[in-house]
Amino acid sequence: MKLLIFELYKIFSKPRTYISYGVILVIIFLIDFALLFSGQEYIDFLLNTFKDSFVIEGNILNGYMISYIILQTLIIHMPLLVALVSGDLISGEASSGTIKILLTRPNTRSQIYFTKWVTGELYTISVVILLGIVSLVFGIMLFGTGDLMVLKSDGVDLIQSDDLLWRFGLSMSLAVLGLSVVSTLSMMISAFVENSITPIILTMAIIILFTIIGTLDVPLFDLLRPYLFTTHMLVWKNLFDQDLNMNLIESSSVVLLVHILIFYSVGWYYFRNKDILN
Amino acid sequence: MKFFTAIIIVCLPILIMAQSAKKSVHACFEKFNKIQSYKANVHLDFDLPDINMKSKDAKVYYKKPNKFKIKSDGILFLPKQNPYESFDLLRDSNAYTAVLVNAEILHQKMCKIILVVPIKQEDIILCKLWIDDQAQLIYKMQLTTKSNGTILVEHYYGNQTQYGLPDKSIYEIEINKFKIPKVIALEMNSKKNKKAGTDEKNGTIQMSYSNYQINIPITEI
Amino acid sequence: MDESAIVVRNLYKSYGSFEAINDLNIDIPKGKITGLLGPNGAGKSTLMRCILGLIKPTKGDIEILNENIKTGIPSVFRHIGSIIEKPDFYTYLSARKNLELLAMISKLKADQINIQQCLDLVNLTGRENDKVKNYSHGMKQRLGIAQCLIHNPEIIILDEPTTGLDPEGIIEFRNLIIRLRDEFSKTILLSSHILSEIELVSDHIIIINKGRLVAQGNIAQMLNEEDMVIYLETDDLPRTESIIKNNFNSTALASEEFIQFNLNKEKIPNLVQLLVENNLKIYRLDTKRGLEELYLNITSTHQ
Repeated sequence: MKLLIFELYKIFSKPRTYISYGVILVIIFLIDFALLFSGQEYIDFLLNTFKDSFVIEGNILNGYMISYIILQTLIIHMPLLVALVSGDLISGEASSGTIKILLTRPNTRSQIYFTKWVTGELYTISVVILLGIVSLVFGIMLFGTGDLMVLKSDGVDLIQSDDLLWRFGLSMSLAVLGLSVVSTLSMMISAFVENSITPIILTMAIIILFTIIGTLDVPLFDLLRPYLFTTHMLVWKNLFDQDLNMNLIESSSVVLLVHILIFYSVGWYYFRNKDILN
Repeated sequence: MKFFTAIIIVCLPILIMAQSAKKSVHACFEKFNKIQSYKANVHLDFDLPDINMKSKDAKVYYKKPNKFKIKSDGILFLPKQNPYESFDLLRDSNAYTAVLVNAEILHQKMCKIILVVPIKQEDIILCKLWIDDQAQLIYKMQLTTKSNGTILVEHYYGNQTQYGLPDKSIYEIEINKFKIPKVIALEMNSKKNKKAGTDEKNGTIQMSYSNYQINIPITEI
Repeated sequence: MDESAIVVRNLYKSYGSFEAINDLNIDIPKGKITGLLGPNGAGKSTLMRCILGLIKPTKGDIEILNENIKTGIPSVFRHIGSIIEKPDFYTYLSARKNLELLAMISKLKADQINIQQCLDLVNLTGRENDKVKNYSHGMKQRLGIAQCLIHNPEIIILDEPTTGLDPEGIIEFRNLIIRLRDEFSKTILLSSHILSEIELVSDHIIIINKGRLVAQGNIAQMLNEEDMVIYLETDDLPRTESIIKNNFNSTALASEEFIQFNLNKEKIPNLVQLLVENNLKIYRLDTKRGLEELYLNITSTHQ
């Protein structure tokens, strides 16, 4: 526990930790204010197809929709913010030499690795919670509540407001799970290198590569796609389907958990046997 | 003389039929015209392609001459046409021509199919009505307007036949296929099966009314 | 024989085909200062890191206070404080916060933590709330010592602790570690390139070269076993040289100003007597205990 407090104290003493929080708050406020002034045009543009057939009654541009827009906009960029901190957890200490302080105290390397991982997880959770809560609260303050209209490429799902909060809660948990893979991956890379920048760049490079593989319509990639964690990272969005596909949510969660387990094990094994030479 | 006789023989039934059609339409209108206002609960069921939403409960308000509003806590997809828009036209029997074109059994009732065509240039282009003459009820209406296209609505009656108010109305609506770019919907990784089909589809909205309160003061609209 | 604080047996560490440590057997006596000597790349840092568990040995055993580190880690680190190459800190935190955090993860009881005492000992009182990034090199070095002492360890391991210090800093540092031995009975393992420093503070030395042990033992005994180096200046250097050669069977190196030769310290009175008897005027007679010579001699014979 003391080791965890020690790790938390350290990351929350570093300015870079607050970059993510700052970026999230700035983006939330920017999107909120932009939609406050021109949100109706944006909605009209998106719902143009229906304008000949329907009158859509009710508060479409409500706090839930704003929060959903912010979530899906920001979560794409969250891996970078998470890697910024998780990628520094071990390599940052290696480059500054402080890893020697840690390893020459009465704690095992496994304890140290686990504590650092938990710290990365807590940071990831804090980022997602901040994103979720601020976007929801601020969105509701500015735009009120209402049903959530989820705009998909081939249709619209309308979820009733009394059916939303648990979906937001569970989707945040799934977003945390997805980002935990990123956090564990960047920490694993962090165990292998001696500088903080490589884990961040390498993590982002892997995510970009996997996303490209996941996006391209090539038969070979179709075989790979189910095994890439990036395919499952956006599973949180499935919580906003009118008819929940629990099988998909469960299988994606399992794939993400397996990735976390693999990345954790590889990083832990290497760190446990690593020679500290600098 | 034979020529005139022939014209009279041909036109008279038409004139009589036109008068009869107009009478049927007017009778239905007059029945409804007794209502100053009403309020009711409405349960909406949606069966709309590309729109996935659950049933909703709402309240419906009407105030003479044609103010109509459905209010709900959440979001509703509603037919674009006001169902009472046609009543603007039907109010003045000199403003339209009614032609009986056919008859059809609908809901076990023999219904006249009457075309109502405005005389002046109006937003309404054509109104096709299925009228049960005996009960003086409109069982089906197809309304074509310049601004909002065509809508088909079928009414089912129960307790409120004396006012011509339905227990259930089913609106059939033409809908264009909904499409937005995947990038905007942030579906970069999704590989959904492409749905085959045309760009235009039909959907229905079913409104089931209950707890009518007729001719009470309405402040909501 | 002194009780050993650290015992290393048959230690090997290899990186591929390179043997950084090769069958090393050493004993570090308790309550003494042990100087670890060796040329660059001899394996000093590797040995220290092996002792601290930072590097996993390929083979062999290390016992610290009778506890094998293979099984004893991490509890054994309760008894060790260290500075390897340079003291490391969280420079974005204050000195006090660094020490507090370190105490926190050292599994100490509240009454075992005395941060103020450590700060006083290393003369950082008054600056303890400054961020470490604003500290001078000397202050960082002193804070490093405070960091070593925060958990009151029995053993202190210092790898090149005086690197980059100015002469005052070196003297201050020297006095501090002597104090730690004399007043607090700490066992100190110290490596340095500055042989005079090692000579001044150490009770015991270990010399390694190419990962192998070359010599170890009590420094006074090791130096006594060897001849002293004598620097002699007289009014007649050629005659002096001849006297030395004939009487002590020692080869002297003569320059224009003095003669340098090796002589057992027991024979120095005889030398002086002979020179006086031969009416030679002695202008200068310097002796050197000769760790440098000993070191060079030992390492060159083990090349």
